Amino acid sequence: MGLLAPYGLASLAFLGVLVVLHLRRRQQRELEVSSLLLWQAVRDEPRRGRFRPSLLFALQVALLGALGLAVARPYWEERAAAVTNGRTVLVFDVSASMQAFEGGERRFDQARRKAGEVLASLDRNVEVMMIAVAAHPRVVVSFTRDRSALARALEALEPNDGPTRLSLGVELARSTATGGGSLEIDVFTDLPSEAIGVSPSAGERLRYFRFGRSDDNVALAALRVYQNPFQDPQEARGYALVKNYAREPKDLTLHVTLASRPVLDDTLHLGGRESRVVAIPKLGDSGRLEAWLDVQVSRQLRPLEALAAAAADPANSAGVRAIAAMLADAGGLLPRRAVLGAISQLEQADRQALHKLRLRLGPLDVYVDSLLKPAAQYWRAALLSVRSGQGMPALPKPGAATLAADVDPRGAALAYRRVGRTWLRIDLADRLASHARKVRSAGGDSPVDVALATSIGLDEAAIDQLMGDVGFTRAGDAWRWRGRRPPRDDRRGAASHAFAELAKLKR
Amino acid sequence: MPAVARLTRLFARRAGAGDEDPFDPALFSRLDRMRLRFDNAHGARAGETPVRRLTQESGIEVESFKSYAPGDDIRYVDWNAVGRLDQLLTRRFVAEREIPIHIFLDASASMAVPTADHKFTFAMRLAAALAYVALNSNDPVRIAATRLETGGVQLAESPLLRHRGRYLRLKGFFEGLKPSGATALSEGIARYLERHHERGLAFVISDFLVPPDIYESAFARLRSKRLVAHAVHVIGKVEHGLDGISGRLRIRDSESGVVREVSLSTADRRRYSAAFAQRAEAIRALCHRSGVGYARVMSDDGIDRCMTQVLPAAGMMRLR
Repeated sequence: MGLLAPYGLASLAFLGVLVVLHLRRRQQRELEVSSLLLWQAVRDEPRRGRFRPSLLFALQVALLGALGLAVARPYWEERAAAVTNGRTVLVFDVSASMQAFEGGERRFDQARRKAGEVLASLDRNVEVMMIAVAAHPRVVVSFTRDRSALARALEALEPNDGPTRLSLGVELARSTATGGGSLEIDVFTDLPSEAIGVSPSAGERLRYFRFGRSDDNVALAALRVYQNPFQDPQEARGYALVKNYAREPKDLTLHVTLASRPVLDDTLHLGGRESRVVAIPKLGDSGRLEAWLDVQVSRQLRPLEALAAAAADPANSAGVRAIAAMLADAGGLLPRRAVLGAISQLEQADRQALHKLRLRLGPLDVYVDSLLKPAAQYWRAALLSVRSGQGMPALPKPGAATLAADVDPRGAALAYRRVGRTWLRIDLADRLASHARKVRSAGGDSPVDVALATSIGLDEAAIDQLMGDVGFTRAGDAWRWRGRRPPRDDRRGAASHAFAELAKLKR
Repeated sequence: MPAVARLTRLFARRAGAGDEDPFDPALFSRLDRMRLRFDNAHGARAGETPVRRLTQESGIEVESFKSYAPGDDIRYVDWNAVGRLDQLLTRRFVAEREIPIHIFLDASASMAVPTADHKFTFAMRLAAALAYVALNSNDPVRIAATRLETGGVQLAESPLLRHRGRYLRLKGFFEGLKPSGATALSEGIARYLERHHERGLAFVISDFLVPPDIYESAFARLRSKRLVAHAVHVIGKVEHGLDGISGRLRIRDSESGVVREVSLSTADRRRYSAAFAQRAEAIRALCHRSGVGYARVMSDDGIDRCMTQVLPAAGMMRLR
C-alpha cells in the first residue's frame, strides 16, 4: 500500500482541531444555584478526566480520518497473478472398501464430492493430474489445466472390487511430477495415513482426505489360482488374500466354493491391520471359483441369515420352513402370490414364528422390512449377482419412493414393485394395499389412500394397476371388489426356487 | 453564555417575573375586587372587619342577646323585649376588628438565584400586592424581610401601614432590599415576634430552600403567637425545569458557597425533577399537618394571575 499524495496526510491535523472542539464543548461551566439541596439527587461527575469520547466523537474522528486518507490518495499494491508452475495430483483410492455405504452414500461418492471442491478451489493455472489406485496405480488424466476434462474424468471414476496400494500411487505422482515446480499430492482414501506409510518429501505438500467414520473393515483382497503349465489342471492351487484394515483384531470365516461345491470353510483370527494369505488346498476340478467372507453378510443381512436358519430348523413347522426357505432363496422378497399356497396352510403359531423373523405377509408382497434398506440392498444385490453370475446391478437412489421406468430392473426389483410405468417402493405399496383391504373390511367405498398416493406422486395408471393387483377394479368413479385372481399354473414354471423345481419333478 | 440561555433570560425578563408593577394604578383596579380571608384571625383593636363568634356592646349588626347585668350600658337594653317578656335584655353586636397583616419576606441569596427567575422581585411585588389588598380593607400591614448575614440575623421592617394612602411608602422600603446571605426564616420570625405582639394574619413568602426543620420551626413560632399563617412557595421556572442547563457543571450554592461538580445527563435531569417535586410536596404536606395555608406560585406567573387565581384557590383570598 502506498500514497500518491503523502502531503495530504497533513489534513489529519484537523483531528487535533476536532479534539480541541470536543474538549471545549466538554468544558466545565460555572453555575450558581439557589441551593444544593435540590441537586442532591444528581450524582457527582465521575473522575475520569476531562476527555470522554462519545460515539459521535468517534464517528467524527472516523469521518475526518477517512477524508484525510482520501486526500492522500492511497493505493493498494497487488502483484499480478503470475503463471504458476504449481502442480497438483489427485490420488484416488478405488478399492472395494470405498464402496462401503455410510449415511446413505458411498465413501467414494464422498471422496468424489470433496475432490470436486478441491478442484474448484485451485488456481486456474495449476496443472492437475488424476491417479486411480487399485492393485496398481493408473493415470486417469495426465497433467492438464482443463477443468472440464478433469470433472468428466472424476464423474466417470468408479471403485472396483480389488485392494489398493496407495503408496504406489503416491510414488507414481512423484515420479511424473519431477522438475515441474511445487507439487501437491491430495490423497482421497478411507485408510488412515499411517496405514499408507508415505511421508511427504522436500518441496512437496501431501494432504490426506479420509472418508468413512471408522476403519472397521475386513476385505477379501485377492483370489488367485496358480497352475504350473506342466501340471495337470486338477493340480492347480488357489490363494486368497484376506486383509484386516481395522485396528482391532477380527474373527471371520472364509468360504470358498468351486462350481457351487464348498471346498474351504476356514475360521480366521486376524490381528489389527494384519493380512493373511490363505491357501485353498486342492481344487481338483474345473468350475467357477467363488470366495466370500461372512463378515459383511452377517452384519448387513442378518435377517436373511435368520431366514436361512429358520428354513433348516426342524422345530419349525413345514409351512414356516417352506416360506423361510423360499424367501432366503429369493433374497428376502417375494410376491405374495408366489407363496400363496404355503401361506394358506399357516396356523396362528406359524404366523407368530414368521412375525418373530420380522417377516411381513403383506397383501401384495412377502418381505423383511430391514432388507429393503440401502446397505442391505447392496449386499443382496451382491449375493444375487454372484449367484446369477452377472455383474452388480445399478442400485436405485437411496430413499426414493418411486423410480422411473428406465432404471435397471435388476436393481429396482430389490426393493420396488413395478406398478404401471413406474416402480413403487415395496413398503409404500404395502401401505396402500393394506389401506384398501382395511377399507373393504370396514365396508367403505374409497379404498385408495388418496393423500398417500398423491404425496408419493402416483399417476392414475399406476393406482389402477396397484388396485388391480390388490383385487379392485375401477367402475366409473368408484371401485368394485372383484377378488384376487388365483395364480396361473403356467406361472409355476417360471419360478426358480427349490420348491418350484420339486414341483416340476413331481409333474 | 449560550445563546439559548441568553434568550431564555431575556424572555423571562420581558414576560415573566410578575411584569405588572404593584405600584401601577392599572393593577389597583383589579386588586380592589379582592380581599383577604381571615377565618379566625383578628387583632385586638377595633376595625372594619366583622369577626364572627365575637361580640361587642356597640355596633351595627346584632349578634345575640344577654341578660342585663349591673354595669351594662343602659342604652343597649332592648325595651321591646322587656315589654314582651318582662325581663331586662341587652343587645350584643358583631365585633369589628382590624386584622394586622404580617408579611415575612425571605431575603436570602437563594431568592436571587437563578437570576433569570427573578424570584425575589416577584416576592417583593407579591408582598406589595398583598399589602395593597390589606390596606384596602383598612387593615394594618407590616412587611419584614429576613436573612442571615455574618453578623447575625438581619431583619428589615417596613413601617406599619394603616391607610391606603401610605401604600407608596413601601416602594422606598423595597428599593432598600437586596437579597444576600443565608435563609433565616425561623430566627427572623422569632425576632419579629419579640418586637410585635399583635395577633392577625401572617404570610411567609419564600423559596423554602432550607432543611424542613427550619420552616417547621418558623410555622410553630407563628402559631404559638396565635397568628394564622400562610406559606407562599415561590418557584423559579429555570430552577424547576433546568432550562438551558446541561453538560458538565461546577455548581456553587448561592448561600453556603459549597461547590460540586456534576455532569447533567438526561437521567440526572429526571432525578432532579423527581427530587424537586418530592420536596415541594413535602412542604405542602407539612403545611397541611400544621394548619398552615399553602400556595405554590411560579415566579413567571403574573401578579394578577397569582392574586386572582392561585391565592384564592389556596383559600387565602376571596372576592369582595
